[in-house]
Amino acid sequence: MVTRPKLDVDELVQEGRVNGRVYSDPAIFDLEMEKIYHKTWVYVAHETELPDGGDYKLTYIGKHPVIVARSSDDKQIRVFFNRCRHRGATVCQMEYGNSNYFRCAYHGWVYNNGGGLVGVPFEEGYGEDFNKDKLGLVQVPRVGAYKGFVFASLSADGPNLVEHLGNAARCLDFIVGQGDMFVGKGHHKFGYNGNWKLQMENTVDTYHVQVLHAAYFQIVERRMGVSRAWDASQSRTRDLGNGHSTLGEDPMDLDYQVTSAGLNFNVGVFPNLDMLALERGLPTQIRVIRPIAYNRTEVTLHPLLKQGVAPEVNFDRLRRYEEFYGPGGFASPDDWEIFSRIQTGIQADSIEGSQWALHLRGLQTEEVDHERGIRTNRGGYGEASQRAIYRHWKQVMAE
Amino acid sequence: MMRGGHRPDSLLKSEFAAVFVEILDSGRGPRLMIKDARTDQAIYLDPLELESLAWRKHADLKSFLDPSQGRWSDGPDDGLSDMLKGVDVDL
Repeated sequence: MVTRPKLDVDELVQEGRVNGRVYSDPAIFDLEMEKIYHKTWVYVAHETELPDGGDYKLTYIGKHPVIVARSSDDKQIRVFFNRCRHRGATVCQMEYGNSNYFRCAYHGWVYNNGGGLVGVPFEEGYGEDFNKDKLGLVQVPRVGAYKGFVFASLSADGPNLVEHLGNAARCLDFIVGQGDMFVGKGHHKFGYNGNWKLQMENTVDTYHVQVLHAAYFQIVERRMGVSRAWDASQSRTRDLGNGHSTLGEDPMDLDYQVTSAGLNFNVGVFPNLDMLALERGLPTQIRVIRPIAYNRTEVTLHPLLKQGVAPEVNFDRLRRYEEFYGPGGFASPDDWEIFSRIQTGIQADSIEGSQWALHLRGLQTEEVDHERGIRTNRGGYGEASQRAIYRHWKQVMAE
Repeated sequence: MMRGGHRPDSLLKSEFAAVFVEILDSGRGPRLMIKDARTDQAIYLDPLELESLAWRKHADLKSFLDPSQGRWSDGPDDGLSDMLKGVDVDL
């Protein structure tokens, strides 16, 4: 195992500000893969993406390409490295498919979708000690599901999934409580030249919405005669602990019941899942973040559709989704552009004092709920949700 | 449009394999033809054989999927001719 010098996290992350190196240093990115993505629970799929036996999808856990497969025989979902045990080629190439067996294209090694090595061509050429039982696809040691959301962890030890989700579990309860939903077959991806944490910060950032996306609100008002302007004065930003955070109306207020539908909120589940649950405004969606390099990230967006409704309902949800988030939407492309600008701007750091990115808003007015481990900014525009990410980041990167 | 004498909707394709599947009634009873679209290797299954498959688990097909137990086993024909057969088929 590679031993790296310990990171001086106190130099990098302080209350209300982070050193730009957390976005721009390739060595810190490598350490993040090791300390975060290759240790903690990482979101890999929603169960409705794999409805039938034999269904599989490809995704990543940090730098590891993985196959998420549902067995036809026992219906279990398992996660394997997408790496042939022979020479290391990826065994599956299609993002989604249905197959009970996988065959590597290079030399024809065949695996079942439980990961076992079924056979190899010309097996007699191997010696007697060739043991297929030991050459199955490497299985990710822990896979867990919470109300349809499937996570996996490369670490056999550590907090269980519910402990990891902590307060964020209640947010997922609310999303599920809005009614039966499913991930449709359509999704889209975008890549940007910036660090993965910029997307995490942005999904729970109230402060930019009326500014960066002003054109969207203006266009909708002029062309459609409706106001989508969002009164943030009633919303919250929250540090839920474990790096998770929310913005918007507040499922963490105890007087909201899980069954009450239609809260406007976003939740970031550290480190790679964002849920937008703007049921009364824009449709719910899942965003999955894939860190590729310190300055390159890919995000996959899945709109959530409703089960058991007229097709027109989901048609309308998709059109609304496209309006804001789609590749030609009026808002998400703004964010991607800004992520690239940050990645460029953050390089200007060589004069003392220039190196900080600020998350100061609401720092002095945070309400701290020690019992539940929640810190809250009321009245909108607070940056408690960004501080949430870095408080946890600091803790796990120092371990 | 027919493709190699087969209807396009008879082609089942994944990233691993491509087969034509058709019901034939040329004999005295119906059979299901499964033809490897890349090599033209085919099998014709009668209803009893198909029923027996319906009662199996996918894991029971393991030996069929083991390349050394059929298609690519050591022997006088090393299987390369089989692999090369039909390589010009454009899917």
